[in-house]
Amino acid sequence: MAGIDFNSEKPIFQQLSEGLEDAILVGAFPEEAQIPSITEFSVQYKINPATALKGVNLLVEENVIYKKRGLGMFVAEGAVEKLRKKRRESFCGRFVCSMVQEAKRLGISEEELSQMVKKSYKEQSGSEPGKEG
Amino acid sequence: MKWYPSFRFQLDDYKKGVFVYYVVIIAVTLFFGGLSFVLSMPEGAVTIISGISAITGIFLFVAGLCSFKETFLMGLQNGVGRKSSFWARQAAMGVICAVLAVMDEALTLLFFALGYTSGRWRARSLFEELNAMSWKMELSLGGNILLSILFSYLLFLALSALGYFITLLFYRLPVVGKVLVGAGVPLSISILPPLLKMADTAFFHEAGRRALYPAAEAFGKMAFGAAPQTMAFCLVLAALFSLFSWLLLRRAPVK
Amino acid sequence: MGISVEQVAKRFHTVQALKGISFHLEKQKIYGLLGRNGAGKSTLLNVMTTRIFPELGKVLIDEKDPFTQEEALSQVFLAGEQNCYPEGMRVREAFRWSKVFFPGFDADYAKRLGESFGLPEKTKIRSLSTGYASIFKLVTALSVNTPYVLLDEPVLGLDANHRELFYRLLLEKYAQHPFTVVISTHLIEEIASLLEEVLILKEGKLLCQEPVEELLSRGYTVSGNTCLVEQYVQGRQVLGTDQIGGLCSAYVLGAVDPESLPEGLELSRLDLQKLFIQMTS
Repeated sequence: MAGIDFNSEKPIFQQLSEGLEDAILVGAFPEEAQIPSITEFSVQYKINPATALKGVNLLVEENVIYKKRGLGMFVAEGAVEKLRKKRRESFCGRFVCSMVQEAKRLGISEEELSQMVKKSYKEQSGSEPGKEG
Repeated sequence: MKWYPSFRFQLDDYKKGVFVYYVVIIAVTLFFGGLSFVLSMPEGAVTIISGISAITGIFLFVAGLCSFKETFLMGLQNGVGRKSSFWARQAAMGVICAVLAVMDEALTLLFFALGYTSGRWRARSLFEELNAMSWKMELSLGGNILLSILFSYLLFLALSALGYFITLLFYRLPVVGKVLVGAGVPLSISILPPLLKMADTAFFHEAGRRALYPAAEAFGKMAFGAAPQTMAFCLVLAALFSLFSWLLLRRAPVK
Repeated sequence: MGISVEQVAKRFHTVQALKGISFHLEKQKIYGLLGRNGAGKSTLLNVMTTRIFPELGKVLIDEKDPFTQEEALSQVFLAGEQNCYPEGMRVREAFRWSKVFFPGFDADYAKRLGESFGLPEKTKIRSLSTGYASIFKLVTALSVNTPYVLLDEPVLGLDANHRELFYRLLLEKYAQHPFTVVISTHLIEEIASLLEEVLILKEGKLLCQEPVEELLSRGYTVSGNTCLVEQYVQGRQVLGTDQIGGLCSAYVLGAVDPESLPEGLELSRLDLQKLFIQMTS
């Protein structure tokens, strides 16, 4: 999982939950695998356990993660699919719109942009999918 | 109340000091006792070792002067309130004074026994000394020992309470107060009586003296006239100084 | 339950150090006590542990007044500014006595912690350097196992490695065995993420007590071209601005509205340290 950027515009708990989503998407935590405890998250990222709990609970609410009493927290079955669907829905807003915005700012034409996208696809083919820089 | 840990701490605080004190006392006594064998003394001369308790009393007074601040701070650091600290101090002094009183008597008896065999030196407790000087009670050996211990005990309580009280007083006083009391008390003791006496003689034809002397005499007789009175007087002093100490400690802030 | 401070005021000679402060600390939370030098942080912590007397107001620890019901005092441990250990006492002896005074004190844990910080056991506490004196303080505080632990400047003089170690240990301890922690510090950036709530003091008054997330979500930062930023903040409540050349960052109170943000301006979160500086200067 990526680290937490304390200066980001996003609240810490949201960053934690997104980082966890990323880790599940790339298979770092496969379905039915146990994820670290709140304590481990808290100590690892130097964040208040209440914040860590809030971040993890976002995913519990979405049924991506479930809790087993006394055992810990596990990735739910179908979690990857659920996350992919969610991410696809927000993909345009999160990435494409801002990319186009920046391209416009720099005077990159639609043509040039799609060229770049194609080129990037070609370069990354074969490397693992889904992982963002 | 968390007095017991504080009680242990305060006892511990005294342990080292008491140990060193007795090592010194025994060494000094044996040194001078031994001297009476080495030096050529006139036939029949006897070295008298007496009143260890007077020195122990001074030791306890000084120890009382030194035993406030560190214990107080250590207590507050460790969740002991002022009231617990105070009662722990009372209990610790009760124990320490008793141990030292018994210790003094034991040493006196030991020196007495040592001297008895050689005939060169004699040992007497402070109580025996005072009894021989002024009270003149006829006592059995057992009675002598018991009263010696009791007398030392009460004297120690009063002296250590006085030391503690003085330290607390200085702790609580602001700087100006410290200077006033520090300079004022010795000055008034040394200058005031002669001045008063002069004024009395010059302006009142010694009326003050005539009124005061019998009062002072009566007080002296009441307080020191006999052993029980003296002991009761020590006890009253100990209680008074402790009470004053508590009043000062009750609102003492950390400085 | 918890610690309540009610209308506490304290004056030192001519300085009114605390001007009627009230707040409540809940059980098992990590609080940050922030304030500039002389804001009254240490005075407040000292009053809460009866080391000094307030002129007005009162303190309640689990509904008990520690000034009269002394058993309440043993619920709190203050690792304070002032060294209260006797002259000549060594680290090891202090741990031994801590165990006598606080039966919950974990001597083995203290020993292990001391070793991981490289704290010399046989050294006299009073002759420890500033950094090691801090280490001694926080090792004791982490081992004492009282429900309330107050830390006054716990990382004073500690190097970056030891500070990180302390934050990690604190979180570990807290996770295993939750307790109430109050940390007063000037290194806000470092501890911001550790805290659940902050109390900000200014000139003897409590400016705010709020969960960190909430406090930070009360506003946002906009940065970009100075002209644009100035235009944007018109009519909005601005805490303050930072300017470098033609660039400007404005700290704005209010809900974020990304839609209304003009092109060329960037949005980011407030950070606790910046917010603190703007609130207290």
